[in-house]
Amino acid sequence: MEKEITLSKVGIHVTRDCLVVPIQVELHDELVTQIQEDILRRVKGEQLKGVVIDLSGVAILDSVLARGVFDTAQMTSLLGARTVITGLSAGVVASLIDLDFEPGNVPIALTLDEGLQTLEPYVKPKEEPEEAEEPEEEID
Amino acid sequence: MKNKKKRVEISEEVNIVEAASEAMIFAQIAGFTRVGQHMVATAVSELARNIYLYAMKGEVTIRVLERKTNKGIQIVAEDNGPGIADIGAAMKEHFSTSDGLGLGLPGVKRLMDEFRIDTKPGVGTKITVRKWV
Repeated sequence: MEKEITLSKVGIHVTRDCLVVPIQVELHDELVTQIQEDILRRVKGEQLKGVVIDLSGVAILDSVLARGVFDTAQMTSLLGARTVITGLSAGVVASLIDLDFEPGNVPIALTLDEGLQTLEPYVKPKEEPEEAEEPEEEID
Repeated sequence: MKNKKKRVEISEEVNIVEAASEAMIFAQIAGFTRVGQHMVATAVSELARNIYLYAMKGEVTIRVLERKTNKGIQIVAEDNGPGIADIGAAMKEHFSTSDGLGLGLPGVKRLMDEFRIDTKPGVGTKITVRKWV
């Protein structure tokens, strides 16, 4: 039950072989834990190589919430996926700097779309490479 | 605006984001920029979190301040928790007595303009912060 609420609130889905996690509600600890579990379960279950956590709807990211989100990104890397965090607002960034927050080496992009772009080299190609269209010339 | 003061009780985890969201509204009313509003809300989130983490129960009172030249915001975070024995240590970076996550007090101080702490072991803690537009 709880899980469904989280999923409908956050709307996790797969686009271009990446798990997209658009967070459009204010975060709290329990929600961060829930999202973390959802992401790890899906990355593992669907063998996904890329995740975008979009925080454009989040106004308040204190040190503990930020730690939870950034830790999630690092956890996915242990599952062989790469996570990009996107959509941090100027206010959130200014606050994190004042809080002396250590972002580690989690990749960041400005927008969700840019995040997906940076993941392109890591995820499997969308379609099979075009093959056998022109048969190789036979050598006599 | 008549309702210039708001008290948020902190006793559950969800009250943290509640207090922070209220602070954001008050910061907007006081005339802070969007970035300023975020900073105030984040500071309140840290303060409310400390109450929840260390004292279990307490309250956060938010009010808009007015002086001749500009407006501001004041937040009082109060609890009857264990208090802080060594304020000097608590104000140092990355000091923590809980689960490896700091009290965040130096961060709160940087986010705001004025910072005052009154605490007594076994009695409680009262932190008053202000930020001016």
